[in-house]
Amino acid sequence: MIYRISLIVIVIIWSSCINGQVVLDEPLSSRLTAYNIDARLNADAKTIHASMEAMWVNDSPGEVPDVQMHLYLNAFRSNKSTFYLSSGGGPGLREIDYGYVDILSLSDSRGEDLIGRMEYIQPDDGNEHDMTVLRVPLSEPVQPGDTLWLNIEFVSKLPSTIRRTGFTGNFFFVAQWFPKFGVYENRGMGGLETDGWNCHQFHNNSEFYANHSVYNVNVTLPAEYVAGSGGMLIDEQEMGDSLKVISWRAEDIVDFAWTAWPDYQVADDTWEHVAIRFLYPPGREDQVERQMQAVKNALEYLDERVGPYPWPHLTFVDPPAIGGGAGGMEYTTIFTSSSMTGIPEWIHMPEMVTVHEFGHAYFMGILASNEFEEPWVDEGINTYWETRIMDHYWGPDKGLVNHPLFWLSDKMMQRLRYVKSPMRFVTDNTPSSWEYPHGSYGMMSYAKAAVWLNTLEGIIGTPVMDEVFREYYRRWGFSHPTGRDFVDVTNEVVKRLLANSFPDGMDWFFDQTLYGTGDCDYRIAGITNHKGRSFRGVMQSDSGMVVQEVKDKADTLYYSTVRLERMGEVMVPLEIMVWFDDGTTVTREWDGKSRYSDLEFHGAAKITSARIDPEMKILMDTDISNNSMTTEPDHVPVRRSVRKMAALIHLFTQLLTI
Amino acid sequence: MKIIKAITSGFQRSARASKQILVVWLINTLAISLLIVPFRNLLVNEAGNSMAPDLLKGGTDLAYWLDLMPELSGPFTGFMIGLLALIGVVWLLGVFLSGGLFDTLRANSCGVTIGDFFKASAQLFFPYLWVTLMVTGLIIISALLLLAAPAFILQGGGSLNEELVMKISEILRYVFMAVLLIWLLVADYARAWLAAADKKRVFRALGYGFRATFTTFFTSFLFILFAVALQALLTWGGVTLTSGFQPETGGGLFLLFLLTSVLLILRIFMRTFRYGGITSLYTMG
Ligand SMILES: [Zn+2]
Repeated sequence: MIYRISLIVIVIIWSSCINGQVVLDEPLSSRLTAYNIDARLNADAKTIHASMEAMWVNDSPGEVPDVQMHLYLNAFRSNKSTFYLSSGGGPGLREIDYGYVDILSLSDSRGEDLIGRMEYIQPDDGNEHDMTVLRVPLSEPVQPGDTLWLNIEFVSKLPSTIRRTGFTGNFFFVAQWFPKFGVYENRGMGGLETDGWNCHQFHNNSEFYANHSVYNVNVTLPAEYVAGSGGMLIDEQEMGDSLKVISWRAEDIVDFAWTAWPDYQVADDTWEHVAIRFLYPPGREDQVERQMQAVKNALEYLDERVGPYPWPHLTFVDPPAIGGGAGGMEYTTIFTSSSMTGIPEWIHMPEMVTVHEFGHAYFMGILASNEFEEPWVDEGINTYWETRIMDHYWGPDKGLVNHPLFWLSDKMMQRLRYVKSPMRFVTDNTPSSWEYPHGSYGMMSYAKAAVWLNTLEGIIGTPVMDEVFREYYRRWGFSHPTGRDFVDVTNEVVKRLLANSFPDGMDWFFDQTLYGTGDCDYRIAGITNHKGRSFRGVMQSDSGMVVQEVKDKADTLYYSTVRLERMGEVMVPLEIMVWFDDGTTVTREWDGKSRYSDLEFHGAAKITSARIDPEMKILMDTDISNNSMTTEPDHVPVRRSVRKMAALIHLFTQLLTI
Repeated sequence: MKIIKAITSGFQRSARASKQILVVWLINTLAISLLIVPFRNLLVNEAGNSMAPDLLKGGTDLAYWLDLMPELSGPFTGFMIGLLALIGVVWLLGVFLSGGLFDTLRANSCGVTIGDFFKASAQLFFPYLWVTLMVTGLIIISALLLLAAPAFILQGGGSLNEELVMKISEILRYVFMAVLLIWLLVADYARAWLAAADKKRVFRALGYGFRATFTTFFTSFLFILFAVALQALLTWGGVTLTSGFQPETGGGLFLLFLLTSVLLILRIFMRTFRYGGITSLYTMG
C-alpha cells in the first residue's frame, strides 16, 4: 500500500516537472526510475558536464542495501576494459581519444556524501580493469516501496572512435553517457531465486537492460548546433554567449540518447499521431523520401500486427560519413540508420537498417527484455519482424534487392546467414550475449533466431503468429519479458487457437530450435514411376501347367513413389507437392518424424516432379536444393546464366584492351 | 576537315580488316570458352535433377547463387583463379593482336593475309607490350589520384563537408575521362608509329605519341572522343542486351549467343576503327 502511494506521488511529481508538460496522458510503465539532468556540452574538450537527480523506487518485497549503476563510457577508459579485451584494440593513442565518466560528487537526498563508498565491481568476469559497473553501499537500506534519490555531478568524456557513442570532429552522438541504474530484479522474474541487482558490465557483444523511466534533460550547447534526442522537445532558448539550452522530456523509455552536429539537415513528417523528425547530412537529400517511407511502413506494420506505438514523437538520424560508427543503433524514440549518397533505389539496405532499428522501439523499447542475457529476445525477434516488413513492402522475394533483373529477399538473406555458417552447431540460443562461442553471437542471436521464428510462423500460420505477438505485447509491454515468457505466450495462444493441430503447444518446436543445436534438412531421394503389369504366370489348366497372361488393365497404370528422407535432427511437419504428367498436382502432408517416408501414388499419370515445402514455410531447412526433384530437369536457366557470364567477361576483357 | 577524313578512312581501313577482326573475336571467344565450358558443365551437374534453378527463371534470384557458393567454394575458387588467369591471357592476346591490327590498317588494300597479320603481331608484340604497360600504368595512376583520392579524404577528414567532397569527386570523374582519352591517344599514336617504323624503338614511339597528341590536339581529341563514345555505346548495348534478354528455351539461348557475338564483333570493330582513324591521322602527318 505504502508503495502504491509513494509511486503515485512520484508519478505526479515527475509528470509535472517542466512547464507542466507531459508526453503521455497515462503512464505506460511503473516508472521505477527517473532522471533529471542538466548537462553542458563542451564541444572543444568533447565532454559533458552534468548534474543529475536520479530516482529509484524499491519495488521489491525486501530492503535493498546498495545501488548499482552502469558507467558505460568507462569501457573507453583503457585497452584493458572488458569491452576492449573482447573486441581487441583500444580507445586510441591521444588523450582526446579516451572516454570515461568522472563522478565529481554523489549524495543521497539527505545530503550524505556517498563518494567514499563507491566501488567498481565486475560481476561478469572479475576483470579488475573494468569500471563499467558502480556499486554504492547506502548508509541505510532502501525499504520496500521507498524511493532512493541520488544527486550526482559528473563529467562524461566521449571517446573519439564512435562505437555507438562518441564524437568525430564536431559531430556528437551521445549515448550511454550518464550513470544509469541497473535493474533490481525480484524473485521469480525469469526464474530468479533471490532479489538482486542485474547490472552487467559493458561488453563488446552486448546491448543494454534498463527500467522504463522518465527523463527531463536540459542540454546547453553552442547555438550553431542542430540537436535531436529521444525526448519530446519542450523548449529551446538562446542564452547569449552563442549558447542555447534545449529541454527535452521523455516518458517510459529505457534509455536517453541525443546527438548534435552543426551541419544536420532536418526533415519533418507525421504518421497518424506520431511527429517524425529525420536528421541527415547535407547532400543526402535523395535519401530523405525513402527513409521516411521506410519508417512509416515499419510503424504501420508493427502498430497493426503487434500493438500501438504510444509515443507522439520519433527522431531518427542518418549519421554523416565521419560519424558512421553511430549508425544502426536504437534508443526507442531515437535511432540511427545508415546510408550513403547515391545508393540506388533497388538496393534497400538503408531502408532495412531503418526498419530494423525502428523495430527495436517494440523489441527492447516496449518489450524491454534483458539484452545482455538473452540477445535473441530483442535482436532475433526484431530481425524476424524486419524480414516480414521488408519482404511485405518491397516485394515478396525482393525485400533487400529489387532490380528488374535480379533480386533477393530479406528472409532469404537471414536464412543464408544461418544455414551457411559453419558455427551453427556450436551452441543454442540460450547464452548471454558475450558468451556466444567462436564469434557466433551475430549469426545466432540475429539470424538463427529470426529463421526459426519464420519457421514457427510457417508451421502455425501468420494469423496465429500475429496473435502470439499481440498477446506478448498486451501481457509484457512496458515490463521485462524473458525468452521463457515469450515461449509461454506462444504455447498458450497456440493451444487456444490450434487445439486440434497442437494440443500440447509448441515446446517440441522450441526444444529443437531455441534450445537445440540440430540442423533441419529434408530431401527427396528419388522419384520412381513403374508401369503396372498384367498377370503373366504359370496356371493350372486341363492340359496341365501353362503360362498364361490375364489382361486386367493394370498395365495402363503407374505405380509411382516419391522417396523422402530426413537428413537432419530437427523434426517438423511438412507439405510435399507432387506434379504429374497429365498436369495435375497433389499435396501431401508428412509429420517429418521418421528417417524416411515413401509417398505412393497409383494412377494413370506419371510423376514428373516433387517438391518438399513448396511455400518455403520451413525457412530453417539448411539445404533447399535437395528439396525438389524433377524427371525433366530444365538446364536453360543455368546455361543462360553462364552464357551471360561469358558475354560479360568478354566485354570486360575488351574494356581492358586499350 | 582532317577529322572527317580520319573518320572515313578509319571506317574504310577497319572494313578492309574485317577478316582480322573476326579472327580476334574467334581467338578471344575460344580462350573464354576454355574456362566457361567446364564451369557450365559443373553447374549443370550440380543442379542435377533439382528444381532449384527455377529461382533463375524470369531473372535471377540471388539466393540461388548465394546458396550454391559455399557448396561450390572449391570450384568457385578455381573458377576465380581461372578467371584472373583468363583476364591476363586475354589482355596479352589483346596486346599481341593489336600489333596485327595496326599493321593491317596501314595497308591501303585488302591484300593483307591472316599469315601477315600474325607475323606482324609477333614482330610488334614486345614493343607493343611496353607501350601498353606504360600507358596502362599511367591510366592506373590517374585513376588512383582522381577517383580514389576523394574517398580516402572523406574517410580520414574530421570536419570535411561530405557534400563538397561528393561534388569535387564528380568533377574529378570528368577530368579522369579526359585524361584517359589523352593516354589512349598517346598509346595509339605510339603504336601507329611503331607499326610503320623500321626500328621498333619504344621510347621514341612514346615520344612521338606525346608529340602527335599535343601538336594535333584538337583534331585528335575530337576523333578519339568520337571513337571511344562509339566503343562505350557498344559496351553499354552489350551489357544491356546481355542482362536484359531472358531466353527460356534452348533456341533462345542460341539467339542470345548470336546477338552477343554480333555486339562483341562490333565492339572489336569499333576499337579497330579507332586504330584506323589514328593510323590515318598519323599518315596525314
Ligand atoms: Zn538490432
